[in-house]
Amino acid sequence: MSRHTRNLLIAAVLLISFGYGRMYLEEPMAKDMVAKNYWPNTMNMQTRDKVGQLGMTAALGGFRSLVASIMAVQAFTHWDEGRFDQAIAQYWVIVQLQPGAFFNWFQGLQYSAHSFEFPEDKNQRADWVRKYNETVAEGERFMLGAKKFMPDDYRVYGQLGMLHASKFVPKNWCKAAEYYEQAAACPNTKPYYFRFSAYALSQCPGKEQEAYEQLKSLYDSNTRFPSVITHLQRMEEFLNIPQADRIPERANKK
Amino acid sequence: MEVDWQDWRDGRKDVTIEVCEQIPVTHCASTVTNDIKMNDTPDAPAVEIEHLTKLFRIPSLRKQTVLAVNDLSLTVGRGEVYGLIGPNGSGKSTTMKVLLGLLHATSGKCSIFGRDSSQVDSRKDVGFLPENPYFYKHLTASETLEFYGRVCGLTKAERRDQNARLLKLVDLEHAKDRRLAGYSKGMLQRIGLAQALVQNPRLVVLDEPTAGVDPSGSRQIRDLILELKEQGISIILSSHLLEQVQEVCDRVGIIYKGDLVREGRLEDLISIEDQTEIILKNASAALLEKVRALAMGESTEVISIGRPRTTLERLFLEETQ
Amino acid sequence: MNDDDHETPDQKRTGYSGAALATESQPHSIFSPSRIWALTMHTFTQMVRMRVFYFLLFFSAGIILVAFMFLRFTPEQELKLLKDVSLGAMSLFAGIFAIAGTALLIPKDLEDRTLYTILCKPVPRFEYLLGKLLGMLVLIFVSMLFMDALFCTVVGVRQKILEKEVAVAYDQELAKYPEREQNESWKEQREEALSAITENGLRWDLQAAVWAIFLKASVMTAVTLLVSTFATTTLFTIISSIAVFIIGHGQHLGRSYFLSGAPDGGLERALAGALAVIFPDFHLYDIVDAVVSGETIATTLLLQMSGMTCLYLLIYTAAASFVFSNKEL
Repeated sequence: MSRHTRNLLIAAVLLISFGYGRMYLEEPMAKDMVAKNYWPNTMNMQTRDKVGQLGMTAALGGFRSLVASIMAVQAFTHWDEGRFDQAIAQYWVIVQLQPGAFFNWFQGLQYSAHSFEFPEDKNQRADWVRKYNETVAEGERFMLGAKKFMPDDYRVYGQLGMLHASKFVPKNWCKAAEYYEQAAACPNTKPYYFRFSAYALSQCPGKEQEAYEQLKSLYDSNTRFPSVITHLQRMEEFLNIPQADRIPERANKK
Repeated sequence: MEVDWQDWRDGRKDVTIEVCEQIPVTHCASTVTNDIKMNDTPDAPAVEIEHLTKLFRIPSLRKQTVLAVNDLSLTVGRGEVYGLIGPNGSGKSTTMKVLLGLLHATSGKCSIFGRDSSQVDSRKDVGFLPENPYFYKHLTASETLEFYGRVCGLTKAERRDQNARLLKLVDLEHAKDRRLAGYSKGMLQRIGLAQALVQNPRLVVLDEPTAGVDPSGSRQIRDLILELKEQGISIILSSHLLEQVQEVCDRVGIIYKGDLVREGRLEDLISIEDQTEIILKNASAALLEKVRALAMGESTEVISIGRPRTTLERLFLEETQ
Repeated sequence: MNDDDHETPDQKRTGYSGAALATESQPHSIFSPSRIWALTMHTFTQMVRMRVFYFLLFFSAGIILVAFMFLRFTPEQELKLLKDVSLGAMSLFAGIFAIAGTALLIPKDLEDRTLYTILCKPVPRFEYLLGKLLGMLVLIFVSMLFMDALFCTVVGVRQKILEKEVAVAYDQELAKYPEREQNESWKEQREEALSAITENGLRWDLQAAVWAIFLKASVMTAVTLLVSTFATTTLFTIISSIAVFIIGHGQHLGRSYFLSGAPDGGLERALAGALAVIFPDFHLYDIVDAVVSGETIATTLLLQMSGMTCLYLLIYTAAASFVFSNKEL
């Protein structure tokens, strides 16, 4: 065996031993990173079809973020020029590239919610509502997709609550209250989600008592914003709360 | 001095006779025995190559090989200038590369001042100028010498001194701050020679030092080699310019198809064994006739009797064709 | 016979060289940091003088353009785009340097025969390789330092401008509807809009992303150097290194499958294991997305990542040295 062959063998043994040994160092690191939500997904063939071979190679080569941003600019151009379907389709790819970025899901929702074109004949209300709800539902699908990757993100539930409280026709206050409640229970949440949950609950049939208790607890904890007072007074009326137990404010009563 | 035999026969008066002493084919610089370096075998020659064989594998499905050097042995004494000549592909560069540790011998061994030449420390004593060196074109001449000085472990002061001395030696002081990208071929060869000398080597290996250099540049390099020779540096030189080899080398080896076909002192190699040269001064035609008969006369001063010379070129062609 | 006749060639030699060099009497050291540093700085200078830093002009122009071109985007989107493009460009340039720059080093030295002039000096081959590797790492580090400084400046400036613009917009709304001063939701919305800019602006975690990019490029440099020690052409080195780079981003899939201990699919598991053993895991360094998405990167993870990189550099350079030590030049 020549010296060169011997050295090649030594190098190969060294690399294989290292390769085998490092698996047991890298795997726990990788698991830790998955647990910390640094890598929310892996890409699939559908993504490849959408971003193309070059985009997929770039994304696989560690340039996902860059590919996603370039696609976001393209999506913006589509949306800006009225090609709403293309903009939304583009965002479905972007969220596959970067599912851990809430902003992408949110942008998909925004484009869905704002891309509805009002029909010229507004008398065809039923058709109008169906089409409108379809676009809002597309937005909801973005948020439901985000929920899979960010189950603890208050923003996801907040946006879902918003869709049912103010976008869908008719509004679904019970579902909105449910989502807002979930948003309020998430870590690092914003305080207004608890209020929104109470407001929505106050309009959910059969949940009035629960809503009253939530609003009252807000009032008692000195959260006496005009909306809190308005909704609370409405619940007092609805539930026939004795006058002595009602709040003293009158001015903002609707 | 070379004499045309026909001139002598024609009775020219200024023909001289020199008597050359037959010098045995041994190391002409074998007087070198003292040494000032550490880790050195005091009596070891500058270079000793013993039974060197080098086979190259040809990348193919069949395990074909090419024999580049075949059982080559040679010795270069201290202070000697050794010329290695041979046609293209004869194994000169391979021999040099094995000597410098750039290639590994298939069999046999090489040593430099008694140290195994495959060991890195043996290169402390060697300077090498490869064939057609390009060097780092982004560096100036000063930076080139500075860099090579650094890799040789020279101190800052040593680098500064060597830089100045070597630039002067190779006559590139005027161009020391110019990037090598703008150097002519001759200038590149000279800076190459300077880098080869940067750590004060005791052995310099020059592979085709004048290849592609114009006659004037070639002459400059030849003069530098002679200067190094004067200073006692051992030199191995390979060149196609046989006239140049003839001018500077003490001994010559002719390598052909990997074999060292002839080796010896230059004067011995180029002398014609079966002829004798008689050079006469002020000889009359009649005398020359007598000399022709007797080869010696009383009133004639015999200056030289020796063997007439062929040229190295003729010898080279005879050996390699 | 004159006195000169007693001089040995070595003594004569001092005639041109002056006093004997101090290094001549010293034994040869098998490992010399100063030699390695000389080779490192030489490689760095070589690359700098090949005008590789010109790309920084492209980078500067690119991120300034991105910072001030997409003015119709939301502030969050704008900052995200700026970070994505900048970090993406850093990854790209670092990758190009690591692969193309390193792939050129040894073949160029060999082609120009400069390698001969170095290796016939008392320079061990592993020192030569180490010098080349460190030179490239210094080059990538300096480039990234410049890009990072520029990136932080641009993001910081853009963030300040956006914060000011949003604050002004809310102030104008307040001037128009003074009753909103009492509206808590409106005030919360304002705070949230401003904090969203801060969260998407300049954060320390961006430095973690930049560091991860540098570490990944370092491993890539070592891989390319290893490939170039046995490759016969530069093109082969570049293509092979790019292939390793891409496969390295999916290596973790093979590893997870191999380590999962699934009883079925023996051949598939063996192949997955081979993939995991042969290729480095570059996915481990992919934290740019997480950072851009606002995740905080744990310091322990960065330390582990740095440690793994050191191991990669050490082993790959050692393997390269073994391959290169007896290579016929």
